[in-house]
Amino acid sequence: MSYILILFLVILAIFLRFVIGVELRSILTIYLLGLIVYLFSFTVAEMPPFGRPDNPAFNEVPARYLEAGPSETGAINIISSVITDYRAFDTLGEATVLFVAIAAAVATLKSHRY
Amino acid sequence: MLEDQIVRITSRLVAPFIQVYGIYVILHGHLSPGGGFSGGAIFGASLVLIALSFNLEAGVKQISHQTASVLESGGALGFTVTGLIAIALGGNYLANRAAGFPLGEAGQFFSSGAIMVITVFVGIKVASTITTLFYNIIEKETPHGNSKQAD
Amino acid sequence: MESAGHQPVLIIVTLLISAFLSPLLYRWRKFLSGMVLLAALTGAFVTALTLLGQVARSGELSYYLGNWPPPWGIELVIDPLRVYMLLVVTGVSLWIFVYALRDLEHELHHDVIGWYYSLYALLVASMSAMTLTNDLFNLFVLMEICAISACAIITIKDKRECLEAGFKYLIMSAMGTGCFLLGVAMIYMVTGYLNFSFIQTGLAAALSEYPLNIFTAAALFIVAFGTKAALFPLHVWLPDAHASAPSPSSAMLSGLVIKIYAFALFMIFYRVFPRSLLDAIPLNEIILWLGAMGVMFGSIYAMLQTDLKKMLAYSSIGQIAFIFMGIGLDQPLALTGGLYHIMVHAFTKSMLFMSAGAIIYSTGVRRISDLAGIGRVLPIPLLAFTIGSASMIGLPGTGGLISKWYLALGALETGRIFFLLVILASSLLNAIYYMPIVINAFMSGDEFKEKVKTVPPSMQATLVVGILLVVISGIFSRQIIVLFEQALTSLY
Repeated sequence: MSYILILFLVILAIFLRFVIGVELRSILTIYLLGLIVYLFSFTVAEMPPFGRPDNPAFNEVPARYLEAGPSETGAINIISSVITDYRAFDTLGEATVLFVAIAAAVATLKSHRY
Repeated sequence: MLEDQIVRITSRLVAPFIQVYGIYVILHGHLSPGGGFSGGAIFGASLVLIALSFNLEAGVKQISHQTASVLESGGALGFTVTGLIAIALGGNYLANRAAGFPLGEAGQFFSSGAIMVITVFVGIKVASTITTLFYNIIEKETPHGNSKQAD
Repeated sequence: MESAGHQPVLIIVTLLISAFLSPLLYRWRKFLSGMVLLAALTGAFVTALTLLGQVARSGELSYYLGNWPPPWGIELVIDPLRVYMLLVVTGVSLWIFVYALRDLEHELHHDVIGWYYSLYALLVASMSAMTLTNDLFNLFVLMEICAISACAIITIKDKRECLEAGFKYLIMSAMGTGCFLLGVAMIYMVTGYLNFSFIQTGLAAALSEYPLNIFTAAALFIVAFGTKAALFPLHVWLPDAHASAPSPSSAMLSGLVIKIYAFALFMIFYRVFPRSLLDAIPLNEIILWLGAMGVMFGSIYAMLQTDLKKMLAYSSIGQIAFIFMGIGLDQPLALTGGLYHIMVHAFTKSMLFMSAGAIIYSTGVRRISDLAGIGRVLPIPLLAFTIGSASMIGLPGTGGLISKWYLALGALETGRIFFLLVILASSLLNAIYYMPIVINAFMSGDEFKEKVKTVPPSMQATLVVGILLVVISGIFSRQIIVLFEQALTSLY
């Protein structure tokens, strides 16, 4: 089966290159991307199914966020309590990313205006 | 810029409501979906709407360059200083309950201590970011440094 | 683990505050804005020194942001290796900034210098935080700040090629950040944690159930950090970016920014991945071969360059690969060499870029062939260049020898003679392209023809400090090596 697939791919490459006239570089890129998609599909197949209650991600971390969140942070919006209290430093980082983006854009636009 | 009467009247009518809604989303960040990032984006979008449907000067009248960049730095500074206040109160950096911010009763408007303060600062930051970015991209500057409106 | 004082977070916050203030301050008082940042950088460096004292007294410390213990909150960890890296980051950035104060005036438009200060402070803040953080998602956020500000200090110069180089860098490093985020998502999915220490135990347990997810995440991490640190086949953005940037930016980018990602990869390998994962797939072997290729190809490309800064940039690809070889050999002595090379190369390459900057500042010459006889008109920049070249080659008395020595010992210890030969061959190649410049600059019979502007004293002083740093790191290396030995034994 796999021999047939490889043969098909080789013939397709020859067809694309010499009959349609696609560049060799593009063909190789497409094949490489195809290979990566092929390999990633195994990883995706192995992932824990979405929303299953005994997934590794459902451990004591979200449990505490959900159960003790309102009493520990005073916010009934759990997302808010996570992003601005439990993990507020990340949000400070994100706010800084906005500042950097502005600083970068303004600096670049200003210096190339003259 | 658009020279259309319908667009102008509509956006003039709609803009204040968008702004009030943005402020509402920011202030209720700890109670309902939304928060600083989304509320700030809504508020910033209203200023962009005005600048787009009228002209840049009308937008600048609402928030000038100077104000926008002060708010820009101010929002980020407010966030960091809130964290430092937590240290001054005896907690670690960006602590909320541990630093003794009054949490209030969960579900009330005035609750959740530092979360609300941080959300407001993030909202200011995001709104001014969107405005500043928009102004900077659409306007051209002459070699003498005067702001000039792009066509 | 004991709890640290507030110093680690104060370093980051001081730099952030000075970054937020400097555009406003610059509009008000130009001079003050530079001084505020200088004070913040000095403060950061001094605080990092006090942290070193604390770590020496009480071992590993941790700091819970917002008083939330891990895995719920974000944790900063202060251990000897991180403090070493923090000292390198804050120290070298302070040193480069003193140089930048004068150099920027002639390279940038005066309107944007305030923004440059701001971006510089953000870059240093994000790098300092990257050394300390013990949280994978926090690392991602800091990488974003670092990537954008590193790009912006290239594009801030009003040259067309800077825009091109910066754009290329932006795309490549955004791709790297994207790969990293995907990897973090996969790791979180199979372990449920973001804290390094929790992931390490979680991964060891999850390895049998979700091997492919973990392998993919590891591959993504290698691509992410490889792109950002210019590991050999992913280096294509580096030469243009580092060569076209203003000289202080080049010194910063080549001296620190690529190293911080190499250090982050080291942290991921030894603090996030459990030993069983490193044994299961030959991750170190991949890094080792890519590093060896980088060492060779970086040197060979550098030989072909005619532009001084471009040559230095290609040489960085070869030198960063030494650090990766240290990780790849997976052996305490080699890791010692690799980690020591982080500091040595930060000193050396920053000094080389600064002396190139001084040459360009005073004469405007960039072509290597035009440098004949320049040593007699610009003695201090060229002396700095000579010492830097000696360190790059690994001559005795410079830091370059120490790191290459330990790498070679590591290669011998593991019985990989081939890599010993790679290290020796690259030293030879370095000699081939560095030495002619030095000899030409001092010995050439021709008089230097171009007009010469005097180099400001502050720039000369930073170069002298650089010479001292390179020589001191070559002579008094014992203390740091002992520190590494203690820290690295805990990894095996």
